[in-house]
Amino acid sequence: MRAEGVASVTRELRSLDRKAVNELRKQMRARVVPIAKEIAGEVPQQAPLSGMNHNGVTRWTGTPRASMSFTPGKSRGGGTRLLGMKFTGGTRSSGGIGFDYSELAGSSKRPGSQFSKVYERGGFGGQQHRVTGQGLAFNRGIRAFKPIRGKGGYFVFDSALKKHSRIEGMGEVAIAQFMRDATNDLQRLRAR
Amino acid sequence: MAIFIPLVTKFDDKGLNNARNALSKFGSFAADVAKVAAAAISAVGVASVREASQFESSIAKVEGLVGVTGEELDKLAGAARRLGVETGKGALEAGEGLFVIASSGLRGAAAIEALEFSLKAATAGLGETEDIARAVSGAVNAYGADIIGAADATDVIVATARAGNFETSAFAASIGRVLPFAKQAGSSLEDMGGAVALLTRTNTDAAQSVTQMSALFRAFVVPTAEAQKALDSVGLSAADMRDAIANQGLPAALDMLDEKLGGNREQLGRLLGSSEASSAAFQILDADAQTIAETFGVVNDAAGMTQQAFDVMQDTTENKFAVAMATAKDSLLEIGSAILENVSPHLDSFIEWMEQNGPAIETGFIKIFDAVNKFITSEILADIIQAFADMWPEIEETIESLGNLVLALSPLLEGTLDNILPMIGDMASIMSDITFFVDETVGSLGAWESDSGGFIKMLELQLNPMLRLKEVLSQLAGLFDRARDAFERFKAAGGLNSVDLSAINTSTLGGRRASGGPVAGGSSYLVGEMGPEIFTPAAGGGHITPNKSLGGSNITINVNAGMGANGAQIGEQIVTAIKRYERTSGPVFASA
Repeated sequence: MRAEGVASVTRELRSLDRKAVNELRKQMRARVVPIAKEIAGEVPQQAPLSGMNHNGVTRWTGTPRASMSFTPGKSRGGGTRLLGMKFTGGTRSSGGIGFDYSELAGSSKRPGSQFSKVYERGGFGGQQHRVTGQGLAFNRGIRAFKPIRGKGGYFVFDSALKKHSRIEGMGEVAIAQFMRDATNDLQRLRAR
Repeated sequence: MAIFIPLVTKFDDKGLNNARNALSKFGSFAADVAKVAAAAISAVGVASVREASQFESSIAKVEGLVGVTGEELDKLAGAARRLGVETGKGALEAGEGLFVIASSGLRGAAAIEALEFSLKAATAGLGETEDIARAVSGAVNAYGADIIGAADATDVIVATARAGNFETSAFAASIGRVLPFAKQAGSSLEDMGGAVALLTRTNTDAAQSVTQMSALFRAFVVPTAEAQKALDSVGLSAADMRDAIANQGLPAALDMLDEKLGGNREQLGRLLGSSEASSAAFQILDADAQTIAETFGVVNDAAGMTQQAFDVMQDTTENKFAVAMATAKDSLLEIGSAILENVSPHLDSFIEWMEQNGPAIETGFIKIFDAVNKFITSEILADIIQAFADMWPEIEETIESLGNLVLALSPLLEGTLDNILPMIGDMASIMSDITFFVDETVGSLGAWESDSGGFIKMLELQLNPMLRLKEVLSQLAGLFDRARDAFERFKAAGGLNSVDLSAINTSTLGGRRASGGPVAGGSSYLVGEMGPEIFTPAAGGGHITPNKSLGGSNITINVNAGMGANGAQIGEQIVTAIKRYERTSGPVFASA
C-alpha cells in the first residue's frame, strides 16, 4: 500500500463522510487488535532472567499491553508508519519496561560506562559503583531463553513475523469489509 | 516506551531492493526498459484508440443497422458524448444506449431525452444504461410519446425501484414484457409500476413480479371463455374491467371485481385463469391502505424522481471519479491518434537505442544497485560504524591511525567511484530520454489535465516505476557526485602524501614504538617499560618524558572491609580490588 493511495483514499473518505476514516480505523482495530493480543499472550509470564523479578522500573510484567496504531495523515516528523501494532510492558515513570528491554536485547550499540562517576555518600567521598546496564550477559541470557532467527525483537516481533501472512490477510479483510459497508451505505442512499 | 511493529508503511519499504529484483526478473534489461516505457506511453495510446474505435463502432451501428444518417446522426453522436461525460458513464456506454433507443424508433429530441434519463437512472444505480434505455424506450413506444415522455417513464421506473424490494437491473431488463398487456388492459405505467413494487415486497423478484402482472393484465385483455362466463355472471365484461382499470386504477378495479364476486377468491382465481395472475390479484386485494399508499402512491407521485436520485449520486466521490474518468476518456477520442503519431517514432528509436546499449546499461545498473544495496541493506554499514567505534580510541591517540583509516577507505572510494560514475552518466542520459517521452505524452494531454485528475492519477501510476527509478538515480548521482568531488579534492591536495606527520609533532604523537622500530627526529613516540612514556628524539640526543610527568587522574578503589576484619584479610581484599581494577582499566602502579 502506498502513501499517495492511502492519503487520497482517506481524503476522499473524509469528503464523503467525516466519520469514515474513524470507521476504517474501527474496522482495522477490530481485526488487528485481537491478533496483537494473541501475540502479546505468547510472551511468557515468567521473566526470562531471574534478575528481572524485582519491583524496579525494569521489572518483568509478563503479558505486555497490545494496541493498534493507524495514522493515515501526513507526519510532521517524517514518519512512515501507517498501520502497526504497539506493545509495551509499562512506562518509564510507573515501571515495567523489562519487556521492552528484553524485546530489543542486543540491538543497542551503547556499551555503557563500567563505573559510575565519583560521588559522596554517608559523608564518605570517593564512592563509585559499577554500572550494570544491558550488557553481554543480559543479551546472552535473553538469547538462551528465546533463541530467534534474524535480528528483530525476541518476543512479539518474532511472533508477528511468524504470523505475517495472517496479519496481512486481516488488514485486507478489514479494508474489504469497510468497502462493503461503504457500498451498502451508498445503496441505501440511492434507495432513499 | 513501546515496541512498534509496522504492518503497513507509507512508502515502499523494500525500496531499491524491489526495483532491482523487478529489473533482474527481466531476461533482457534493454528490451524490458523499452517495454516499461512502451507500456507507459501505449497505455495512453491504446486506451485512446480503443475508446475511439468502440464509440465509433456503436455510432456506426446506429447508422448501419438503424438507418440514422447525416446531420441527425451527428447530433445524436454529439449528445451521446456530452451526456456520457456529464453523467460519468462515458461516451461508449452512452453510444450503446443510443443504439438501443434509436433501434426502438425514437428520434430527435425524444431520443436524446430518453438517453439522458437512461444515463441518469443508470448513474443513480438502477442498472445498466442499455437495459434502462430499452425499458424507457419500450414504455414510450408502448404508451406513445404524446402520453408519456422519456423523463416520465424513467421517473416511474425509478419510483418503482424505490417503492419495491428487488434488484433494480432485473426490473429494467424485464419490464418490456409487461408493457404491451398493461397498455391494452388500460393500466397506466404508474399503476403497473406500483403493482410490481407491491408484489416485490413479498417475493423480492422483479422478473417474477413482472410475469405475474403480465398474466393479470392478459386475463383482462384476452379473457378465456371461462373468464368471460364468470364476468357475465356478475354483470361485467373484460371491457368493463379495462375501463375500470383505466379510470379508477388497478387496485380499485380489482376491489370492484372482488366485491361483485362476493369475495369468492376461488371464483376469482378461476376467472383470472392462471396462478400468476391470481397471486398478483390476491396480493393487491389483501394489501392494506398504507401498503397501497407506499407503492401505488409513491409511483404515482414519481415526477422528478430520476433527477433527485441523480443529484444525490452526483455528490458522491464514486460519481465524481466516474465523471473525471469519462472526461478523460472523452478527451482520448480526440487525442488518441495524435499521441500515437507523435510518440511512436520516438519509441521506435528508443527501443533501437536500448538494444544497442542494453548490456552496458544492465551491467551499470547491477553495479549501482549492488553498491547501494551493500551500503543500505546489508550489515556492511553497521560493520563500518562498528569499525569506526572500535577505531575511535586509536584515532584519538594518534594521527597515524587517521592515516590508516584513509588508506583503508581509499580503495573502496576509488573502486566504487571509478566503476559507477560512468554508469551514472549513462543512466542520466537514459532518464533524460524517458523523461522526454513522459513529458511528450503528458504534454499532449494538454488542457483537460486540470479537469481530469482521476485519469492523470492513473497515468502517473503507469509511469510511476520509471519516475521512481529516475528519482532514485538522481539521488544516487548526487550522492556519488559529492563523494567524487570530495575524493578528487583529496587527491588534488596530494592524497595521503599531504598528511605531513612532522608538521604535527608539537601537539601530537608520531606513533607507538613499544615493540621497537625506527624514529624520526622532531617527532614524539610512545615507549615505556614502566608504564607509558614519551620519547622525543632531537639532534644530538633526545628526551624522555617520564610516566609520572604525563599527568593522570586519581584512581579510587573501593574496598568493602568490615571493621572487625584482621589485617591479613584487609590486605587480601585490597590486592583483589586492585587486580579487579587492573583487569578493566589498566595498571595502577608502574612496575619496578
